[in-house]
Formats: sequence, structure tokens, C-alpha cells
Amino acid sequence: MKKFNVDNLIESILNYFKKHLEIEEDQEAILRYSMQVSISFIANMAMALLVALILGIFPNVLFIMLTISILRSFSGGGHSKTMFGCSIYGTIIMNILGMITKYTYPTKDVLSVLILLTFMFSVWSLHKYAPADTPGKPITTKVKRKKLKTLSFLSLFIWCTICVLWYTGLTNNFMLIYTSTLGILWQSFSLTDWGYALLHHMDRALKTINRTEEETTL
Amino acid sequence: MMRRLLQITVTILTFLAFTNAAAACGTGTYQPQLPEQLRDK
Repeated sequence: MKKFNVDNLIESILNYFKKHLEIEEDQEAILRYSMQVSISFIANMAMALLVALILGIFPNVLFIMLTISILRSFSGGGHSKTMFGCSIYGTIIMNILGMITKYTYPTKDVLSVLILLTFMFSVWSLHKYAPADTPGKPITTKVKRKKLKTLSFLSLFIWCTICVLWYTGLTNNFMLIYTSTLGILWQSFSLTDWGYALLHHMDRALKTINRTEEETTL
Repeated sequence: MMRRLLQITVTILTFLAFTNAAAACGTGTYQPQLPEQLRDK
């Protein structure tokens, strides 16, 4: 049986497009990239949310993923080498964070301290590392770097404002505040050298598992 | 009709590619190689 491969799937879709539409070489490269990103996003979300649904932590994981996604689009962060690795990593981490928010009940004071520490750590992390690029997508212009850094700080301050509103009693969504705090904390961590190192180790572990599986099949 | 649907799909995919290129990175942890056509000049 032929092994399922995302690249083959993308090639088939591209061939179908080319059969019915006039697509130039430049546009083909853009479409290929877009499909790689979209499929990765859908697979990542679907896998993490499916596990979350089974574990009964769907809204928690959804909020965490949304928070991380917003900050991540501006601040960047560590990346997995493969689409599969990304989905596995995302599923494990998001669901661990979801479980923490489901089974721990910090008091208002404890959560406020956590918010303050998260804010301080994020300011340091964003100031030092954002925007954190990858070899696959380098940020080469100074203007773009500055713009992304500003947008990263802006999203952090918007989150902080929502937290202040919660603290003063103007909003009452404890779960939203708790999950978004862990999301911001995790995303800020993923920008640091330790965050990159963690992803690197996960990639290596997955590679070893993959190799062992292949050897067993042979 | 089919041709029209494909054109819309291609437009959406192109829009997504440009949006992603403008951001620091994708929302997930997988980042494919950015094609030359989308790199900052």
C-alpha cells in the first residue's frame, strides 16, 4: 500500500489546478507554500482539539491555542522540522496546559501574581528575542523586525488590559484569563533559547522513534 | 462553475500565503521554507 504523504497530496492538488487554470511558475510556488502552511495549521488544530475533546478540556485548549496563535504570528518562535513533529508537539503541550487549567484552581490573588510574573517574563522575552525567526523564514529587513516587535508588545498590552479589567471586576471570565495567561507564558518561553532547545530535543526524539519504527518494519 | 470555484480557491490560498509571509511565522510550530517570491526584497 502506498504511504500517505502530504507533499504528494499537495502535488496532486497543484496538478489539478494546472489542468483547469493557467498557473505560472511563481504562482505555483506561492500556492505550494500556502497549502503546506494551511494543511499544517488544520492538522495541528484538529489533532490537539480532538484530544482535548476526548479529555473534556476543549474550551481550555481552544483558548490557549488562540492566545498562542495571536502572539506567535507577531513574535515568532521555535519551529519543528516536520509537519508531523509540529502536530505531536502542539497536541502534547496544548493538552498539558489545558489539563493544568482544568484541574488547578488558583485563587484570585495567586492568579494575579501569576499574571504579573507572566507579564514581566513576556516583556523580557519579547524585548530580547522577538521577532524570533527561523532559517526557513528569515526576517531580513529592519523595518519588518521593528513592526513585528511593536505588534508583539501591542498584543501583550491588550492581554494585560483584559487582565486588569478582570482584576477590577469589570469582566468575570476566570477561565479565559487563566488559559490566556498560560498561553502567553508558554509562547514567551518558546521564544527563548530553552524553548528552541526543547523543540530541538522533541524533533530528535521523534526522529529516533521514526527510525526505530522503520527498522522494526524492515 | 468548477473553474470559478478553483479561481476562488487559488485567490484564497494566495491571500493566505501573503498573510503568512507578512507575519513572523505560522501559528503552528511547523514552518516550511518560504519561497523566493514571498521574501522581502
